[in-house]
Amino acid sequence: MIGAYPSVVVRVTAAIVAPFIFLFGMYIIIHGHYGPGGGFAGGVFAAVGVVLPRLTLDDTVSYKIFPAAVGPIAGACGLIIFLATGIAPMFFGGSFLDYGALENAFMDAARARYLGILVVEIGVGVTVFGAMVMIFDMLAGKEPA
Amino acid sequence: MIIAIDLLFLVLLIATALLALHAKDLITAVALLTVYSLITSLLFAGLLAVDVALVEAALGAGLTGLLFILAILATTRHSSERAPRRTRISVIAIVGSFLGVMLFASIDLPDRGATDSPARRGIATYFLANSLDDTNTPNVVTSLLADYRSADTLGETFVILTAALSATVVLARRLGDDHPTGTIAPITPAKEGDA
Amino acid sequence: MIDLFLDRYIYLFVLTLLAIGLYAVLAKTDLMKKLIGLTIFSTATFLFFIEGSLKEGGTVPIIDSRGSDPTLYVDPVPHLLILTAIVVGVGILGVGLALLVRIYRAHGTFDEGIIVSHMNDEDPHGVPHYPGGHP
Repeated sequence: MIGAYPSVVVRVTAAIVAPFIFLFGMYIIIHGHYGPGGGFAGGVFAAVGVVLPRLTLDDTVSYKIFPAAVGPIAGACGLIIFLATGIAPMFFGGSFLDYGALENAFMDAARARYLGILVVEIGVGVTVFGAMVMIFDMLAGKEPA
Repeated sequence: MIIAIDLLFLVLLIATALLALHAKDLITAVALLTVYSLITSLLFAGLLAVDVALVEAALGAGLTGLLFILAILATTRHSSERAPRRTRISVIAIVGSFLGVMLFASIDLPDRGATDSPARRGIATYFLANSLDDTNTPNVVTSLLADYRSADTLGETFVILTAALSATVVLARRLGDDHPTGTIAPITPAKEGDA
Repeated sequence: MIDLFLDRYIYLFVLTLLAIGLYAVLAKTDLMKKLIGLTIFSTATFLFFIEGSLKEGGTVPIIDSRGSDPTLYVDPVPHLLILTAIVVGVGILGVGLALLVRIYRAHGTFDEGIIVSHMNDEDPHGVPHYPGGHP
């Protein structure tokens, strides 16, 4: 509903830069172990990478790649990932969200917790991405069909 | 932290907050609010809270302004603030007493970075000492967020999703609604040769 | 006197910001300005929390080659709390803005006096009508 921005410079720059912002967001999610970042910051950056084409480019372009339904679906998928990682240790004798109980011959407890943190951060990032895109879409007037 | 820059930023914070509330044009107010969030993010970085500075810069100085501007474009740009009457004495009394009580309560709070502050004695000492051994994660904030206190994060994720869903429900078009959704007028369509 | 100020100036500034936000919510008649005041208030609260995590001589809470001594790093627990609080705050802002857009469509203004008088009228002409009663 916002429509293409009248300036060629803005449109071309946004089209070139937006995929890199999305990629940077994914990098921040995964690199959260070693530097600042993590799930929340990465999810917000990835959402910005999707929101920028919706602001500056034509509706047909931006809503074809990421339709308006991506908001609720991504939000739900991220939460399912988080809950699945939480419930999985209960089958191996641990309590809810106790990744250390997932240790086996391939990974010791520290490695299992490391991988558990990674999966949970990805889940949180996907949910935050979905929530931010959903709020933007509703305020811009596009309902998830 | 260099004390002079710290004081300068804090004074700028108060100035932008007051100006944002005083502006007659709502887009001006939102722009000043974005400056406010950006200076707060710089203060966070100066306080060595880099994770928080990153999120505040992306959200406060980015998405908050964007959401405000979308709402303003869908409604009105002109602030409907009436001409300043004599401000009600009750509001001044409430705010003044709030400020007085909080300043009085802050007498017992520790000095900046003091040696007896709770920052040195609390549970963080255990987390900082054991995070690398337990989880192989150098970033202690991430390991706290996703492992030691992952139940908090689960609750917060639920809250974020619920907030977004409730925004969707509030603005959804219902049967018999005579106002169209999406009242943002599209910006004039692109003409070839515009730069 | 200067020492006292240098030790405690942060509380003065943060509490002033809280008072400014509270004043905006109470005294402004424009609903959008109230929401801006609420944002100012919550961001000042975050600043207050992060100030409490500072340690003399500490650094960023990412463990590097210096070892796991807790006195070398600032307190990471307030960072954790504020990180999620900021994101939740934006979600709540989204809900607030959605409500404001709805209110504007129903009443045509953000002025709270006019909206209250619409709601008190015997014939509320600004309220949308739903077939079959309220949704």
